[in-house]
Order: sequence, then C-alpha cells, then structure tokens
Amino acid sequence: MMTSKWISVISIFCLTTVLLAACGSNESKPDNDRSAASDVHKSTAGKQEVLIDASFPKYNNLDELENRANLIIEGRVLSSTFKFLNVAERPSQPGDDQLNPGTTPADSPPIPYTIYDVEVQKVYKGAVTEKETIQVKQVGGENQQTIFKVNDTSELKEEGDYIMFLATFDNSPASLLNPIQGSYELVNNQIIASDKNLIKLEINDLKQLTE
Amino acid sequence: MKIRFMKLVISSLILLPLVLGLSLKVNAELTDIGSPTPGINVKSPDHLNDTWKTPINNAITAWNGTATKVTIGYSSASSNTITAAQYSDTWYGLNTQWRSPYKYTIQLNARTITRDAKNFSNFVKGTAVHEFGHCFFLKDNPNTTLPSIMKYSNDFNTVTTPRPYDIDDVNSVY
Repeated sequence: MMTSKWISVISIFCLTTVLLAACGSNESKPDNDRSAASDVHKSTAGKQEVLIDASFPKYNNLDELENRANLIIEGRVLSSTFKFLNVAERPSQPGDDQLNPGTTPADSPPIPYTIYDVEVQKVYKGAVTEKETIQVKQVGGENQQTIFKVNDTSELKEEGDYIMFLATFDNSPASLLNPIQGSYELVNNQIIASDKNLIKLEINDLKQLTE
Repeated sequence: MKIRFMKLVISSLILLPLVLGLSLKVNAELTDIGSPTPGINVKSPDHLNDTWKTPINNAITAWNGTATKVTIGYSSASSNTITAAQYSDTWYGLNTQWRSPYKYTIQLNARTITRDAKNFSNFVKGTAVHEFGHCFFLKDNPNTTLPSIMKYSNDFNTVTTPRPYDIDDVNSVY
C-alpha cells in the first residue's frame, strides 16, 4: 500500500518534470521556419518587422553619467515623429584613420529614428534654457510599412516627464547616453529608474550639479 | 516479475528528469530574428581603411574558428553589409536585421569606439564579434554569470571572442 503510494507520487513528479521541460525547450529556440520563409512575414498589424540590436557604453555610477553628458535636463515629451536619418558625419581630422574609417556620409545607410520634441522644464547641465524645445532621437520606431523594433530599450512616452542625460551633436538631434541609463521617469516628483538601471538618482543629486 | 517490472519503470522515471536536466544545461536567451542558416555572407568592407578592415577580418575569423556550424564569408553579391563611420549618436554598434528575406547591416561608430578604446584593434574586433553574434540569434546581455561576448559589462579592450556560453547558445540554434 505504502509502496504503491510512493510509486504514484514519484510518477506524478516525473511526469510534471517532463511536461515542464518540454514547454521550456520549445520556448528557448527561435522560430527558424518563420525566418526561413521566402514570403514576407507580416506582424498582426500587417507590417514588416525589422529587428535592431544596439550596443551602448554602460555607466557604473552617477558621476560617470554626469561627466559624459553634455546636457542634463528635466524635460516633457510633447510629440514624436518617425524619420530615417543619415547621422554619419563628414570626415574630421583626415589624417586620423581611427576616427575616419574611409567612408563618406553617402556610403552609410540611413537609420530609422523616432525623434521627440522635448520641452525643457529644468536645466542641470548644458546650454539650453527653460521652456526651450529641443529634439531627442532614439533608434527605432515605425512607419506605415515597417516596425523597427529595438531590443532591450526603454522608449520615451509622449506627455511623459523625464530626467535626461544627453549627448548633443552639431548637426543632429541629441541622444540619450544609452536607452536604459540615459533617462529617468519623473512621476509625482518621484524619480523612477527603469528596471535594468541600477544607478539610483535623487533630486538632491541633481541640485548639486547646479550649485 | 511484476515487482521487477515496476522497479524498472520507477528507475526510468527517476532517471529521465536527470537526463532532461543535462540537456537543459543551455538556457539560451535568443532573439526572434536571425540568420535562418548557419552560413552567412557579407560584402567585403573594402571601402574601409586597414585600421578598420583588419580587426573586422579578425572578428570574422573568430566566429569561423568556433566549434559551431556558423561561418561568415565575404561575397561581392551579398546584400549584407558591415561599415564604419563617425555617427552622431551614442552607440558603439548597430545590427539591423530584416526577417524575410533575411538580410542584415552592421554599423560601427568610429566616434564612440575611438573615444573609449584603449586597445583600438581589440575594441573594433570585440564590437564586431558582438554584432555578428546577433546574426546568430544571440541576445544582448544574457542573464548568466558566465562570460559572454554579448554582455553589456564587457570591456571590448580585452574581451574580443565568442565565449563557451555563446558557442553553446549558437549550437542550440544550428
């Protein structure tokens, strides 16, 4: 009686393990058949999907973020537009083979960007003024035909308020230092970091920048 | 007889999860777009100077030398490209992949790489190896304590080749 009871318990345990393993192994493999299809794959919205993976510098602490950014603001996202941009610059310092790989802007394919109009609420670092509207760009977005999905990113939301750590450029909208650590959401005067951002930020930290 | 049979069944049921557990050693975190075949081509980056071309070649050699089925070859007829320029943005590298028909474009940022590299050749090679990794379904920053060329914490000045974790993940696909 006891023996048969134990047999039942062990069998149920093993069967559950097998079923869980089967589910797990199916989820871990990509859908190669779909990728290999010769006809165009359409998302449920009828748009083609393009995947972008971007690798960014990672910052270890707030000092590194503050030192690298040439613009730190509290900003409100007013609106956004999708645009292809060619952000390759004309070669500078022609004798520097590292800085100038040998290409011209015309050689580089344009990159899909979402460009946000951001109203500056407060300035902590940099040469902009309150109530000025600046543009901030992020790789990715969508147009009528295609979704350009960026892995591992945190998109800015319209009507959202953020603390932004930005790099500025002469002939291009500003960019967040990276999509995870470059912005902090501001909700009811609380600064909220994204889940993957381990660098804590307090209002006092920002006040020290302006002192 | 019946007892022996029951013992056999129980032993098998106990051993089966152990066998499955070994096969689940690789917990691959994979993207959902990548090359449908292990062999990919790319247009040779002859438009780049040797300062860039050489470490890119070394990155391709690094992948071709792994114990996987993946290979990267140069073909003038390929629609896949790898290039470098001074881009007005903050990323080191970008890999854009189209699902079907499959193609990819890798762009390396001379602005940020030159700024942050202490060993320039290594940094270009490491960034290129990382970006090619996305072609083989490898995801950024896998949740593992093991070394991986895909991790954000990598210093490309010293980390420049696919690691065993990456090789296992690629082998889980092809």
